[in-house]
Amino acid sequence: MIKINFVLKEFFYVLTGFLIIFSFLEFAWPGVVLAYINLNLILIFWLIIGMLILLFNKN
Amino acid sequence: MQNIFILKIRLILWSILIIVVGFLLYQAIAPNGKVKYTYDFSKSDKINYFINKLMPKERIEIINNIQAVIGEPVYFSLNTLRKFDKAKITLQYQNQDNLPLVEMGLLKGKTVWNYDLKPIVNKTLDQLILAWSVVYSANGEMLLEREKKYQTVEDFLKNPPPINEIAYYNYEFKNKFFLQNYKPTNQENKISQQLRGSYQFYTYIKNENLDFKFIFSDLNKNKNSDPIELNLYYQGKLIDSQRLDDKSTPTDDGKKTDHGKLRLNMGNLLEGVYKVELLANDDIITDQIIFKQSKLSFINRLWLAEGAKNVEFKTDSNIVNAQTINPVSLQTIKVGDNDLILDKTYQQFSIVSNKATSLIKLEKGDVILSGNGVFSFDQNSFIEPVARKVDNSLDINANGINYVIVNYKQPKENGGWQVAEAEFDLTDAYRKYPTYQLGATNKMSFLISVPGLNKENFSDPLRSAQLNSPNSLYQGGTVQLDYQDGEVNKIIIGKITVELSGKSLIDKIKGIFYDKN
Repeated sequence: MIKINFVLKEFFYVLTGFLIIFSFLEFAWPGVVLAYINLNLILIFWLIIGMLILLFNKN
Repeated sequence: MQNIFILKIRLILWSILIIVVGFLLYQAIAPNGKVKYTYDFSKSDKINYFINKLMPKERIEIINNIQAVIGEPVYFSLNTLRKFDKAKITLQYQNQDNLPLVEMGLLKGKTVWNYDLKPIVNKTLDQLILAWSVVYSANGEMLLEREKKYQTVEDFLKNPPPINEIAYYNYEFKNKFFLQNYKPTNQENKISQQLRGSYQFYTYIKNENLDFKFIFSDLNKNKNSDPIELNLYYQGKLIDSQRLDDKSTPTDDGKKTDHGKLRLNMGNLLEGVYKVELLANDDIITDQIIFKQSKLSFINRLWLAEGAKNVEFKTDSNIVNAQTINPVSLQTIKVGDNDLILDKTYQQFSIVSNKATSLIKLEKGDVILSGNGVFSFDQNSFIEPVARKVDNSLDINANGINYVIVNYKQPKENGGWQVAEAEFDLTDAYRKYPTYQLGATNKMSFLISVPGLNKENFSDPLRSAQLNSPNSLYQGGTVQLDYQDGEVNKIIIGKITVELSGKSLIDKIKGIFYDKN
């Protein structure tokens, strides 16, 4: 269980990195990310992982 | 042990992030200067960032998950993440209704929404290629001759036949047109009929100054700024340009105000035909044109402003189109001996005439007149200095055309689809940029034009004209286009592929380095 929590945290960190870097890229160069990747899906995935981490921490 | 496992996961995940960012930047920069985008219209739900859907949706019908164009023109935009210089567009389509002319265009300027049109299919040319003698040049140009006289295109260009025997298509035919027995009068002439928006006209100069004065007013019907641009061309080259900026506060109160004057005055000009182009939006009225030339013919289109009464034009246009947005201007227009009934607003009505010239008589103004020829207010000032364009309304036989010079590739057949290519120079395309950005994302607009394809009043005008003319369109006679309700003609669009090319990253870096030195 602890192992899954650690893995999820790593996913959460890297997805946070994805979101920050992609947002910056998209702001600086419109379309560079959105032409290929739907940021909404990454955001939803990031939120789900964040909630799972909170759930594991609670337990 | 656990730490090593977490480190491995971390390394893999962050590597993925670096690879994805690298891939996105590589796609955006396109280091080799080439990129290809495709939109398959049969997959209607697919979102494509680069090539947008055909618009407006009122002119598109989805038939069995396939997009059919039922009204024209339709537009699509192309988004690119950097600048490119050239675009080769491949259009996969079906023309089951044998519509005579399909063209694709790139938006070059927004003031008058001018598009650089390239051929997709031209049925008149397809028929001529089968029936006439064909000569190809090394550059891909094609000379079609009714009876073989010229062995090469170069021979034809060196020693062309009279201009009234020549037609062209997608080719810049630079002919030297001279009027025999022309003498400058130096007398002041005036066009007092008010004209709305943009227009172009030809004039003729011989041992005289080119002298035109334009007096403008502003209708203030829209709040946009109303600049005016005046360009003078000789043999297709811009030789003078003037601009009148809108210094007043933009307003849409509908009160007509004075908008200033422009004057074109040039001496020491070579004898020949000059083209004057006025670019302005529809808020601008040209109240008067005062000039010293004796020849003046408007090209293709002019909008006679509200207030004009009993106006006459001479035209050589094979098709005369009339449209109004003003209910007061509904009327019956005389075109030669025939009537063109303008009984609805916001709808274009057309009449086909195969006479060399016709006289057009309008009772009221606020009518947009257009056609494939020239229009002149005064019969004496009429000048017809250019070869005819092979469009869907040109009757090759009735107009005595014996030579056609074109730059045209016939579409190919591929698995039940027709495939045509059009190449565009993007360097002077009209582009939209996002407001704030460091990159070079831009958006260009294209259209697909199918003259006569109109979902409101169909069927095909040329075919209707052929069917209804007592002598058939190709043997002379004039006929009002008889639109019929019922079956809607269409062009089915299968796929659009855009191959873009521009400077490579190395060329760009070399350019910066070279410029700095």
